Amino acid sequence: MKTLGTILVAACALVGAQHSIAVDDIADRPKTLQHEAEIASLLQSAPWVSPGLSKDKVLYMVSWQSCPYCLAYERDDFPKLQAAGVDTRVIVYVRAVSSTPQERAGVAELWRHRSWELWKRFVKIPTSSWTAEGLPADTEPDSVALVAKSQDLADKLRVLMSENGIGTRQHLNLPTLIWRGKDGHLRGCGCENVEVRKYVLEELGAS
Amino acid sequence: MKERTSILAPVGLCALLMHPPGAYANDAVVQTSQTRAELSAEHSVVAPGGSLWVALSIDLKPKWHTYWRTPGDAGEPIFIKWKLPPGVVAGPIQWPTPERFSFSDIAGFGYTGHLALLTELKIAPTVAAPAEILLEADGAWLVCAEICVPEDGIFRLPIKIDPVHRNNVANAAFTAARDALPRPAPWPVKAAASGNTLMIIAGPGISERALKRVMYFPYDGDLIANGANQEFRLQDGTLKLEVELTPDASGRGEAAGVLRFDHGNSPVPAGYTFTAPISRDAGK
Repeated sequence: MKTLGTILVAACALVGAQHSIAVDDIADRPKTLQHEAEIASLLQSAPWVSPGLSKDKVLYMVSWQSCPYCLAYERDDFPKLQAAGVDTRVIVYVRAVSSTPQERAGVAELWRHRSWELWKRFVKIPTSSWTAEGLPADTEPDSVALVAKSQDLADKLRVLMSENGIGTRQHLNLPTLIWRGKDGHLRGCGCENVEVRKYVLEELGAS
Repeated sequence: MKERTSILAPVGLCALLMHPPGAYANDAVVQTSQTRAELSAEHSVVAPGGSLWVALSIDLKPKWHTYWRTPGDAGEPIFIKWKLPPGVVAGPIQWPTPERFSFSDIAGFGYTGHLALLTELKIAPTVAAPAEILLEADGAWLVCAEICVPEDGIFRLPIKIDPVHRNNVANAAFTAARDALPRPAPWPVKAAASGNTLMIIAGPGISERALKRVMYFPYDGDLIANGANQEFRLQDGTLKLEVELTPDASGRGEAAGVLRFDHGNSPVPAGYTFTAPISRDAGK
């Protein structure tokens, strides 16, 4: 009897654990976004940079210069997405509290001239080593305005994504990934478990 | 997700009711999904002309990490911007000995679990006393675990300035925080470059007992290949550590940073700071 009880308890624990994993996994998977029009408007108005591969198959990645897991996503999944014809559009913003003058100058330049080549150089170098050589200073009025716009975009997107259960009202999950699903609606992913990113690739035909 | 505003709304109301006019409210804790961050002081009272150690402590959930002063291939150092009353000046952050983590060929230097960043505040002799002052700091830190979350918070901590009623009772949390700091290397340290290899030679005088791993954490973010293997040999009390240089490091004149020693018989690493000119002709 005691043995049967032990088996039952163990079985229940196993089922519970599997259920917990499944629930976590599902909550973390890609989802259709609420506030779609507002999010789409923000993304379309942002000066993203991309290799220009497609106007239809698009993935937006919101990130900033020294985000290690944004860099990892770019290294690991961008080649697969681009090979499948997906235009990988990157929107870089500046963190208001702790950004450096050089980082602000780099982001301002990306928002000003939208150079994919500059972005590739920009993210390869840690913020502490980025010199922004040859770029207009972050104190130029134009740069100040562009940096402020990048922060404003991140602030608005953070709130909208949090209302979709991705990140919080205070903090944006990075990378933030948004794309248009096969049904034409915007999709997003918390992707806090790296395994879940396979679904992003699947939905964009890049798996 | 625990929202800061939702916590602070009732707390703020209570604080307003409980604190008499003229007293400062303590608002020293920021709680997020991944971290609990707190600003604390070693003592609650300090005399004019004295100094006070304060700590920004961060407790991370399992699997999450944050970054050292040199974050590695990417990442961002923990940032503190002080807003202090006249006559109070903050010294530099004292960084605990870091650890290394790697993912997708990206190496980072930083911390998991618990860390405390100590800062010394100097109080000018001219600061009025007895009085209460408010220490304020904007903090920002990046936490990562398969995703990254840039977090921040504003910390406020009231401190009494009093020449008479001092509090010098030992604070265990600060003792532990000091134990986690690297200390100046007690033996000579030399650095020599040959090709793309940097050889750090430390000693003699290093104990061989149970030394399991040695790792160099540079202050210069462009000096070494952050994720590369670091091989050490220890013979007759002299340590030789081989580190791969970056292609950009050929013109660097000195190596500085922290040597971290992990011992098989202790979970607590030992850290040693050093600065050494790089010799180009000594080789291996």
